Amino acid sequence: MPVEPDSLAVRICLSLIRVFSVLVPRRYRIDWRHEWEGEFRHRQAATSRRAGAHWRADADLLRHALGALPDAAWLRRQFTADSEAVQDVRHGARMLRQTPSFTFAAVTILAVGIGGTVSIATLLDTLLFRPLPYANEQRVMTLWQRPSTGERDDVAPGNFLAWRERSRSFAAMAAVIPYSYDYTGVGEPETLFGAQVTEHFWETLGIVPALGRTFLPEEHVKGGRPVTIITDRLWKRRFGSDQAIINRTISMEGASWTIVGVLPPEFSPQLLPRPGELSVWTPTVIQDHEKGTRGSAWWNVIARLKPGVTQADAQAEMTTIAAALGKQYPRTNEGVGVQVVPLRDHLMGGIKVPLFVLLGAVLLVLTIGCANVASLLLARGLKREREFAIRAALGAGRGRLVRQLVAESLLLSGVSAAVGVAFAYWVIGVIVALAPPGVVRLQDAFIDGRILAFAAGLTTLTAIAFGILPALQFSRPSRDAMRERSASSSRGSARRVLVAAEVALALVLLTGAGLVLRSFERLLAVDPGFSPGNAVALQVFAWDRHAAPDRTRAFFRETIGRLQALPGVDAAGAVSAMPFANANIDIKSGLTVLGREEKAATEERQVYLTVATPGYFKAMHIPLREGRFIEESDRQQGLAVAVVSDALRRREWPGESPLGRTIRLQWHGQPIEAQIVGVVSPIRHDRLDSAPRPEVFVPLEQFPFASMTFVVRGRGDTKTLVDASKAAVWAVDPLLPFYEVGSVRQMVSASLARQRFIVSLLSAFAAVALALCAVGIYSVMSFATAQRTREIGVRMALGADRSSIRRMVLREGGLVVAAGIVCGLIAAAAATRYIRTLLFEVRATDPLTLCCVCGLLLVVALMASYVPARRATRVDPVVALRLE
Amino acid sequence: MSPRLNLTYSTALVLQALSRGFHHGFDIMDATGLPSGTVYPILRRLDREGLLDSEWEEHAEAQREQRPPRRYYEITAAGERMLGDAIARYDSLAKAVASSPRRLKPSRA
Repeated sequence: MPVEPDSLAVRICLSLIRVFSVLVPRRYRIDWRHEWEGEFRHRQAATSRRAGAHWRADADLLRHALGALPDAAWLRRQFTADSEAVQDVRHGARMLRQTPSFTFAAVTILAVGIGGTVSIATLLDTLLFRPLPYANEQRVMTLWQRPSTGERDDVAPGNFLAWRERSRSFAAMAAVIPYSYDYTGVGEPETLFGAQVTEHFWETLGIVPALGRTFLPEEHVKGGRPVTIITDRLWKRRFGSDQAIINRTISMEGASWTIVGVLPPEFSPQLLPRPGELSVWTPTVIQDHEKGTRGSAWWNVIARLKPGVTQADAQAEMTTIAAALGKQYPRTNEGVGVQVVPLRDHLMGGIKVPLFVLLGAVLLVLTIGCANVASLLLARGLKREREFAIRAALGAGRGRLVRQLVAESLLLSGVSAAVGVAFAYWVIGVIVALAPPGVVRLQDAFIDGRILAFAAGLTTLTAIAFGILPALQFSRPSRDAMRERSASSSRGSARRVLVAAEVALALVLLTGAGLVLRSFERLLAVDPGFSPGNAVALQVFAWDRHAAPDRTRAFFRETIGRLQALPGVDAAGAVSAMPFANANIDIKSGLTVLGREEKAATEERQVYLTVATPGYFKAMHIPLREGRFIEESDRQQGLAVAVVSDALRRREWPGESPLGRTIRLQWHGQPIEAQIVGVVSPIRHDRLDSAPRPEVFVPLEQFPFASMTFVVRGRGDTKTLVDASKAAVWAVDPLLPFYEVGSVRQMVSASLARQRFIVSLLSAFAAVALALCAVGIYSVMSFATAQRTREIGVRMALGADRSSIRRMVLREGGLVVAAGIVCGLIAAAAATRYIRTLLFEVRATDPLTLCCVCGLLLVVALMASYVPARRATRVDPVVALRLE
Repeated sequence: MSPRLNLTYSTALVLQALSRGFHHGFDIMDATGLPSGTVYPILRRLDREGLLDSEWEEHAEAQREQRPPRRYYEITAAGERMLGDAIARYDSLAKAVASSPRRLKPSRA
């Protein structure tokens, strides 16, 4: 097998060969494939070692690959007698060869449609139907907290324990907690990502290690031996697939951990962030203080349904449990529901609806393509009327003529499908590259037998869609077809209907793309509450290395001092909850406003508590609304201070200023009072379309906390700034690894991946649809004009001037397009309902979008009919009349 | 109807290439300038008529270059006779094919 990966050209060639090989008689098929593959691989090996124009070699390869089709067809002919069907196909192939430009156009149009549809169908198939690598995977559920106001949330440890104890629907329930380990071996300190899991995690998923065992109960208690299970990737990367790995140790966090198991290679727990990088799994030891933690939620919970229990049963039971918890712990659990989501749905990461929308879009493109090809066939058929008339005169029945035309259609769509499937390989790669991270299973997408069967079905349908109209029309040759020229007005009107339909479909697609594009634009215009500018963020979890409060304070004082002193740095600070970071420590706390009429405990409401240093606000350019930021003078000794976000001010003090008020917060389970000294603008945290958090900022000096993200704003490029910042932190602690590092702008941009995915694909499809439409209008108008040469000549001879001729042609084109637009608007109104969930601050019937789309279509249509119109005015009356 | 081979110019070109030492499908295409869709059916027809022999390349050799084995075609004596007839018929044939194979073997870089 080749050591280097196959180039794109070779991959396309090999897939073409695979498709063509179906034609080859079975007993020669394997040899035949080997022969062609051998040549391609040899050629690749030969050319890859030579420098220079590879594209030329690639083009040659593709040309050669297409030659495999006649070869396969030749072999097939040797073994199949020429039945009528074969005769039809051969005749069809001859006719297609005679009109290469028509064939090329039709195959291109159909291949784009079929290829696009096949690729989206493959992705959907992978996500919806391909089994997950877990035993009885349909029983595996994910469980989430759902606050009455917000979106689904991770789970608090206390709640998990209550759920596990009280629920009866599940055979097993387990929690998994994303975690990172500082690997301090050789070289730069590395962060190994991983997770801690509670007991029964492996049974819940149905995972058996490839080597070794899972965790024992005694490893989940305090003082247990540190053990770990590693992933296949880490095993291969660091331990060279050593079979004797079990009971060897790995050094992390300054301790040595015994490896007790190696996971199977297909294990990829996409339930957590960074699934591809998770490599170390350890047993969690539930701490005493965690048992009562119900406010802060950071655990992920999975559960396996008992046989016979449905998702709805489990959901009903969990809702009851959640309501009971709400009564029991109103402070934290009031209105907090539970959501049971099948693991498979969770893994699709919100990409299911977009993919269905894209499937709809690509089917529209295919339909437009069919209309286009049907229209081309009609035009071509007009030129072949004599041929049909002669065949009919020689005794061919209508059935035979229809069969002949159907065979041609099937042949055309078959060739297109072969090219389309090869094209789909490439499209799938592009889509997977564009797809938002986190939908990991997309990478496993491949075209298998079922998809090929789907493609075959689609091909037949396509052939019927574009072939039926021409077949019916031309199998009934008109009586005067043998004469040199005849006006076939009914055939012209069929083409006009097709073009109007194309315009209508394209309008639907363009409207969809336009709406999504407008939403995206709206989203980009959202103010996140800070300005990313040229800031970089570096996340550290230093709580174990600098645990004691004084150590924490000293560490951040010194690192931030060094960061600020870096050349070109404008401001530097640190924060506990970095907006748009992958993993954050969100601290939640109850909030009581002192001095206000003391209300019942249930009135105490949750807020996000964010620890920050003074430099953070400057580095992020967070606008101040009132009062002041946290300042260097807010030290340990003084009264604790707090800065609140405007979102919290609006909730708690609508219409008044909170400055000078005292609030009570919970800090490590202890109440602590702080005075409000400032209000900053509301900050969005996870996504631009999520509501800003009610947030309280407190100074690190007064609330020491060591899991922080440094934010450094400076001039110069990101990489230099990141490297300099890393060096500055390592100057204080050379063994501290960084968790997430990147520019703030990138982090915000990454949160838009899903929207960007939809926008780019839908726009691409819409552009293809528009182009197809333009081609359709152009070909219909120029054909109609060519047919009317004589009429135009007569008109001109009788005194019509050029502009009136041009107007006449344009009017005709305009009428067709206008009819299409009217139908399209009605269809769009019905269809855009389905993309409502993808829109942001734009209504599905946004008038501006609709106007722009109609305008765009009109302009394109006008341009497409202008060329034929101009040509019409060039008709020389003398020549036109002489044609008679 | 006996499957008599029709000695077209293309067929003669392929025979000529085989006789000049081009042994693989793609090399013959390069040497003759004929498209793959023409060369392969001709090879199969020649094979059927016994004008050439075909074999698979040694597995070891292919393995050394880390690719699957190629199919190897060689002209037979009957083929050479046929080529003789063809040369008599088509004057330009002698010049149409390069006289020795252009090596497209991977060179040791």
